[in-house]
Amino acid sequence: MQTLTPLFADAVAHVLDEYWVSNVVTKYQILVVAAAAIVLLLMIPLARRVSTGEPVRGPFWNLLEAILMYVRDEVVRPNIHSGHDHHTFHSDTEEHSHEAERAYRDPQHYLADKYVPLMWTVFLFILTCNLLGMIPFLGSPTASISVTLVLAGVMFVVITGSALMRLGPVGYVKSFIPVLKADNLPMQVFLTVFIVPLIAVIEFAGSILRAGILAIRLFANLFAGHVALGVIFAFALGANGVLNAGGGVAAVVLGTALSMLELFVAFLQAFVFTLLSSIFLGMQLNPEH
Amino acid sequence: MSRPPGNSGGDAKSLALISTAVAQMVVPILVGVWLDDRYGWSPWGLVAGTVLGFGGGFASLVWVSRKQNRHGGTPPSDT
Repeated sequence: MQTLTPLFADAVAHVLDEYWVSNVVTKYQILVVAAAAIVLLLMIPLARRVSTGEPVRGPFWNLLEAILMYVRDEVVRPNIHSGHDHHTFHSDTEEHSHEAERAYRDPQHYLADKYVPLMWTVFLFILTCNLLGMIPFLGSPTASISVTLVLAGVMFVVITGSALMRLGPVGYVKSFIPVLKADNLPMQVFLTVFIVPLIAVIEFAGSILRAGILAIRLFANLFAGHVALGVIFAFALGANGVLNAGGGVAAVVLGTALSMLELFVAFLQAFVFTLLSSIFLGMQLNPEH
Repeated sequence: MSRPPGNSGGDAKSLALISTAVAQMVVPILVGVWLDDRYGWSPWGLVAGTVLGFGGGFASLVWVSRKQNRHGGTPPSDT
């Protein structure tokens, strides 16, 4: 009881990072590496099984495959599409290459499929980080803004880099500048002089803000969820700081219910991060849509 | 099993657009207030942030919404 009392007394402290190995390595650093190792341990055997061309066997591997197929078919492919651009592969120089042929045969999925491995990795990594928080005395690294900022930073680099490569520097800059047409000259001047620069500035800022949205949304959901759990467990302590029966029962019942919700949130937030990343990537790659 | 590209996730795309629009409106104002505090430009940082945030954010929201409506939330056909 002596060791658990501080845990109950401070709802926020258990969510914050702390040193685990002397004053050098923190809890979340270890858990982030552990999450990456778990993802590797899941993905490499699954990839080996799938690469043989035979269907995967076993309930766990089928579940994992179903989750990954859902991410590909319902999240990535619908949101990252190639639009008109597959016609560019019909040039003489690229006509006979394998890539051009694949793009020609499956134009809608060609672009999305280039990003599917990244989205799978991000999804599984965030899901694993989220689920680590459901294990007592561990924590969710995604409840730290530093971790979610790095994840969002990776997506920002991918989105911006992909858009630069696909559209070119000029096309990338032009994607932020709207073409607005008015019925009369004064309004056209007003739009061109005032509104177009405003939209261009705010749209460029928006491309950076989107990464911030990704980071804050994931961080806030995980952080708030674990703090709420801590507050509910604090019910177990009476006003005098001693564990009491009534509060203990309430803490266990509500804590169990909220833990079930947190389990759902762990999957939901991994899904939302992947979905929003796909949407933002699709919007940046096809600015005319 | 897979849906036609662009037809799914319409609500999610709207949610993404709304959250981006809100951030585009709010963040310039906060940056303006921060500039006022940091460099003593009050109230011009707030004024510029509000014009950029509300004016630009709203105009941008209208522009993006019109783009989405033009294509009905789906990519144009290949033909």
